[in-house]
Amino acid sequence: MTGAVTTDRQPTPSSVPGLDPGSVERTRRLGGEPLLRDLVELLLAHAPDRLASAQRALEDGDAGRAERAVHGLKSMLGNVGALALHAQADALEDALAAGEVTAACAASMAVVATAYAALQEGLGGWLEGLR
Amino acid sequence: MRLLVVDDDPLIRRVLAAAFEEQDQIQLTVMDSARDALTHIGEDPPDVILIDQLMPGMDGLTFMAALRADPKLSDLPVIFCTGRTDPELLNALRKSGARGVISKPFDPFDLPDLIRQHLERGPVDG
Repeated sequence: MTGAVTTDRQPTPSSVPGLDPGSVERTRRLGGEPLLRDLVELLLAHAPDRLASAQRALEDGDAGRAERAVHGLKSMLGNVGALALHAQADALEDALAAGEVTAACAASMAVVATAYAALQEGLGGWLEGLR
Repeated sequence: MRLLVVDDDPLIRRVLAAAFEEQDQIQLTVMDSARDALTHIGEDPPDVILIDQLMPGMDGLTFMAALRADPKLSDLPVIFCTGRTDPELLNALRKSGARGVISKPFDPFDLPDLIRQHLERGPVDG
């Protein structure tokens, strides 16, 4: 009798760069694969708008609006377990809370945007693998 | 216990729905706007409210002030949750009459117990 090698452990996004494996495991224990998938889909659906809002606000020199958009993005990143990116967004939010858009804020925003793009690609790949 | 969670982050609403799914003693309602929550509470008050501080439209402190100004709702227990760490804001949240402040990100497994602890303790800073 022949057969394919199978595993009862479903794939998780633990190997996606930028996601904290401990956070992913906690989410898995809380709601299994459906919760993981839902959180990733919600992040991919909503985070780009927050990121774009933050970038537009920075270009407009509006620190308050940028701070609020980064805050929303940060919250989503924390909930999906992207802890390093969450910390970067947190630092940017703190810098913007001073009320001024500085060159350092713009540079930090670029770092967050680049890291988010990589995370998005990794998570998108994971979702594709489930289909 | 009937718990109303108000948070504009769709991920946290989903996480909390999962966290409270197995909690037979807690009946959860989630809303994404403080303004909508005020209307809802007037019609159907919960036993406790967990609200995010920084939200578009109306923030948690403004929501709290509106609640305290309504004699029928002024005693409703409110717990804030926030991802901000600046001491001035945290102090304002504690002094608003809230039962407590929960910092984000939190472990969803701990949340039911955290809420119970804050309720048992009473108002933080009257």
